[in-house]
Amino acid sequence: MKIAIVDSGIDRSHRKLSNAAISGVHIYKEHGEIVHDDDYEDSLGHGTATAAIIHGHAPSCELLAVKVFDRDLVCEEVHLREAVAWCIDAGAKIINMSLGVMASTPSQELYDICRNAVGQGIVIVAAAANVPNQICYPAYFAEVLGVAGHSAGSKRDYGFRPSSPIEFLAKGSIQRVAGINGGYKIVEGTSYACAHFTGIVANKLLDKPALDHVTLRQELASGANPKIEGLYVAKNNAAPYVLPQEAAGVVEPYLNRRNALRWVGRMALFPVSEKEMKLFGDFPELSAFRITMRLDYPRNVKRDDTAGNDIDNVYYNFPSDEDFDRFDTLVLGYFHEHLFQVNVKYGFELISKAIEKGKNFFVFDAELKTTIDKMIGDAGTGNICYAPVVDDSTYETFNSFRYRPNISTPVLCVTGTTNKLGKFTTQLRVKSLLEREGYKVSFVSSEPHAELFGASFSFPFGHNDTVFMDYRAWPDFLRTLTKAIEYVDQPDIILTGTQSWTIPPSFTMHPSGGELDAMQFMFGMQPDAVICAINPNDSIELIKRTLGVVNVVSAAKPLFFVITPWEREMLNDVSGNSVMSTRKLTAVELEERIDYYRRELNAPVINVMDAANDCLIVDAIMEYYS
Amino acid sequence: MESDDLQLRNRIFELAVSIIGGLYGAADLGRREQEEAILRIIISNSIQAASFVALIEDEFEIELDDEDINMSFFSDFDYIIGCLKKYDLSAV
Repeated sequence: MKIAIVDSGIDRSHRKLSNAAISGVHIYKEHGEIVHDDDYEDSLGHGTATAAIIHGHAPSCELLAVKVFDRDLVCEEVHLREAVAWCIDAGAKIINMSLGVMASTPSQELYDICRNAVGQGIVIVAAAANVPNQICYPAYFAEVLGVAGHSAGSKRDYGFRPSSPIEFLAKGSIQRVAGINGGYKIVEGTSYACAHFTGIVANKLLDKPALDHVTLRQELASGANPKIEGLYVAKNNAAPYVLPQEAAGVVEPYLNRRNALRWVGRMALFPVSEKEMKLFGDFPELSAFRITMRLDYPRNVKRDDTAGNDIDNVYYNFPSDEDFDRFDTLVLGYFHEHLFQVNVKYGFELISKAIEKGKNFFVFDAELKTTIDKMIGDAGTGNICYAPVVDDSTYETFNSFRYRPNISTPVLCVTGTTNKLGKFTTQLRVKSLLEREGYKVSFVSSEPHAELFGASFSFPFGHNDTVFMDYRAWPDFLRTLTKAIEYVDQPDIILTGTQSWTIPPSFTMHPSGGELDAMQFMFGMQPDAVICAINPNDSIELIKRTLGVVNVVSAAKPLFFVITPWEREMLNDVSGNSVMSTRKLTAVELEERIDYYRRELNAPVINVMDAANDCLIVDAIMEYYS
Repeated sequence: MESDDLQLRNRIFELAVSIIGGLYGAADLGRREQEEAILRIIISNSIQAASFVALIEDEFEIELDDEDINMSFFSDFDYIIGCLKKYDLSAV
């Protein structure tokens, strides 16, 4: 049986290895290329020590020295991948890796090669980090036997901790091992624990060569000494890189919102004069659910009997009993913040009647949800009231995916210089166009109503945000989320978008905070590319500063710019106060602005709603990612 | 037999002191405390520790079992004596 030792090589002349059959390879970089030769002589002693330990346990096994360390105990991850690949070709049965990459997220490539080796019947034994609870790969991979040290004396004794990411404990305390130049050294650490455990595994496999990986692990677990404890108290604060079988099922309802919201059948929207609601009216075809009524505050407006479709009509009167039969879910905006109290009262009357009629609710605001939940509780009717809340329990739900490798799925983000640029509309347009081309798009939105437009997940920050999670946890959660999306949905692309300004418009902090939300969100989502929305009167400096911020928090490159036809300008009202005014540019004016920005930014600038740009949008995205 | 053990203990003590180059701050302690202090100093440096093991092996012309060289070896003279008594030391 061949045992490969990925380390600093082996000193064949050491007395402790005098009877060992040893061959090997030296893997190193030359002029940027990985090369191999057969000079695996150890000049550091680490590999000789581990080899001698393993040989002491299993003297009949042939040792394969795979030298990846040369002048010091540091190498690149590519050396490890190459080493594992070499071990597979060389016919190793066990690979001892008394080393590791200390990172919270391993590379997909390292994981893939380890999984490939294990898939071919090879057992990988890898050392945990010597620093307690430091995550370290490949030891943390589920397919790998991770080993930490114990303080018991015997080299044949080992422990098993089923609840720990590093399940096995072997002799890692003070011991004498072989050193360079035929010498010895007194050492301690997980490297040597790993080597002892490799020896234990070797003897198990010599005894039962036909054991598969699962049975081997079970037998090792059952043969462990229950009295063995680790050198350090494991905080167990690091989830293992093991996806529990039920992991995908646990997060699936959070990602497949259409299915989770299957109680939504026919929607009534209120109040449709709000910005978020207008989108449903502008693009009803993009809604994931059927809209059957559009309601607004009471006004004396005559019903338009000439409208071709019933939803083109907006109801400005309190719905009749028959009208309530036309929908099963009431989608509520921010009516409760309306400055005119009569309208707020009207909204709550609508809710009361809807509860009485057994309707469900999709609301954008968490406080409103609390209020409605109480009203439902008082009425005892059992209606559903849902708001897209993200909190610590959501974080916990996704935790199984936290230590998966970084995703390889492309992430495209729509961002912009300011608010009110149609960023969400742009996202919906891009999603729709990509899906039309046959691509599978997972959509992570920062808008509260996004799930009704088919978003995989909604992380609503900004106005009345429903993200109740420590700000520092955002990036980790969002990266975990994308890992789960990649695993569960397997999309071709993940589409996302920020809210409001990318750069805070002033250095004055708003009482609600959140000026850095967009940056924090992008830092978590780590887009590869961005589509940047701009105003027709943005300065080139603002646009470039915005892209600069994007580059601070991600490595994303701008694909193209989208421009809104609404120009904003500050005017003085009759009292002399500054007010923001918007004016829609004429087609000619807009074209002039587009030409100007194209020249200055040296990149495509388009009106995203113009169907003539459909091909450009899809081509730019596909060209970048291909 | 007790006398043999004492002789062995004294010899190990001398070897240990020679490794660290003198008793220094432990000079005023009782013998047991001195033993503990010396071993604590020896194990604080891995080269010193390896030298101590090698010195014992040379002195008694034995090769200690690596399995015996553990934390107890560097914290307890009785343990060291127990390890040495596994070997035939009569010729030494």
